[in-house]
Amino acid sequence: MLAIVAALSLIYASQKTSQLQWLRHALSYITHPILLAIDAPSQLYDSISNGFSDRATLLSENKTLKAERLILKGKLQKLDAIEKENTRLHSLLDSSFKLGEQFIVASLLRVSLDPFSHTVVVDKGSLFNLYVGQAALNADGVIGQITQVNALSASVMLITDPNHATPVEIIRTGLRTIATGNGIYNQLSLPYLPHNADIQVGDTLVTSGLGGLYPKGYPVATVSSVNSEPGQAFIEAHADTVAKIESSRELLLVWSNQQPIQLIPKKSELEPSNAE
Amino acid sequence: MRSSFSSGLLITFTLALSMGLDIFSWPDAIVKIMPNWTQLTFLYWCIALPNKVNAGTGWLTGLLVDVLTGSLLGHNALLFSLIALFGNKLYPQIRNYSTWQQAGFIFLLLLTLQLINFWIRTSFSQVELSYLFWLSTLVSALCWPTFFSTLRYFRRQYRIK
Repeated sequence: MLAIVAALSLIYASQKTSQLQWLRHALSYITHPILLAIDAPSQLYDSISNGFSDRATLLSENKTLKAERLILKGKLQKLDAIEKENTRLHSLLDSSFKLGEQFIVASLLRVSLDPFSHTVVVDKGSLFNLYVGQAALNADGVIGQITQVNALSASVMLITDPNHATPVEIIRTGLRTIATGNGIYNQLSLPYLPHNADIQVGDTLVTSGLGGLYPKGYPVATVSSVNSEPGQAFIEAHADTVAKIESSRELLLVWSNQQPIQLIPKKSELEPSNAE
Repeated sequence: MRSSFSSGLLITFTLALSMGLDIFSWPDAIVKIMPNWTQLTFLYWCIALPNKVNAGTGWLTGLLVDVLTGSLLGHNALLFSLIALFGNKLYPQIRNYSTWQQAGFIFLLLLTLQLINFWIRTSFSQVELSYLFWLSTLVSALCWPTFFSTLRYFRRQYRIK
């Protein structure tokens, strides 16, 4: 009886406050070995298959990676100039913006915590200063955000979870809306688009930066179906996520700059005497 | 003294193992109807050793499951305390049932728990639960006879009373 009362009050307390985080932290040291033990076989399989892959495969993989690196570096050369130009243009508009993010690479643990929610577990936790609400990406686009940080692991809620909503923007038109998960893997719903919204199949959605969790401009999804029923209040639209969670074991966790980039002062402010 | 030490060890080990089975990434086709191993294991120990496994143990086990699976703290603690409450109260009857009668009884018990689970989940978060959520209870009950005899074998092997 006492245990039931204690459990009920725990539910109430952990629902209302985040004071019980220390308890979760402390107990996560006990449960962490279970996570590691379950992940170990697939880890072992990976290392064995790595060890036995032959020279030719490794060489060809190395070759493709080198080519890819060359292309990416080539693209990056222009980025610096474009960044500067962007800062200058923003200063003309008198608007500040955020640029420059830090990443940390974390690998997924192959466990499924709850088959009815879309969460994955990564092998880094509060020891690496991860925080709740941190954005997780992979090479293709946005994956989700951290919802729980333990000492040695953290769980990431995918953008396809029914509890999750991502503020997005359509690249082509700049139209902003919200993409919610609907519990289907690799699919998002766009439930809040009015009938006159300019949206087509194939449009790319990127994060809009509203809400402050996701940094602006990362690809999220491409629109896969648009269905406008005159009787309904909103368009029924769906989008396929760009980043496929099953494609890689690594993902990036982002620290976005909290401070907006300093504006380049205008000429008039810089040299008031010369202006006259 | 010796017996109590090793019984605690075996109970802890089986519970840890079943928690591991719960978070194992089973193939997509069956992951949603996998029985709740930890609940089954805990229920077995409640019936087999009611003097050692009680609601306090259940609360602690449930709390660890909560931390492991990242659910609301207290969610599984409540469910496991309830299992202990029923198991400790009804064990004399359950022990006298035939195996399939036990399975039927456990189906009803787990269904009740799943209903409470459903209430907690839907009142605190948005979830898309399909009929598979309820089907997993049936699968748990169907697994019970084998599960029961396996655990009983280990218990007798280590002479735990």
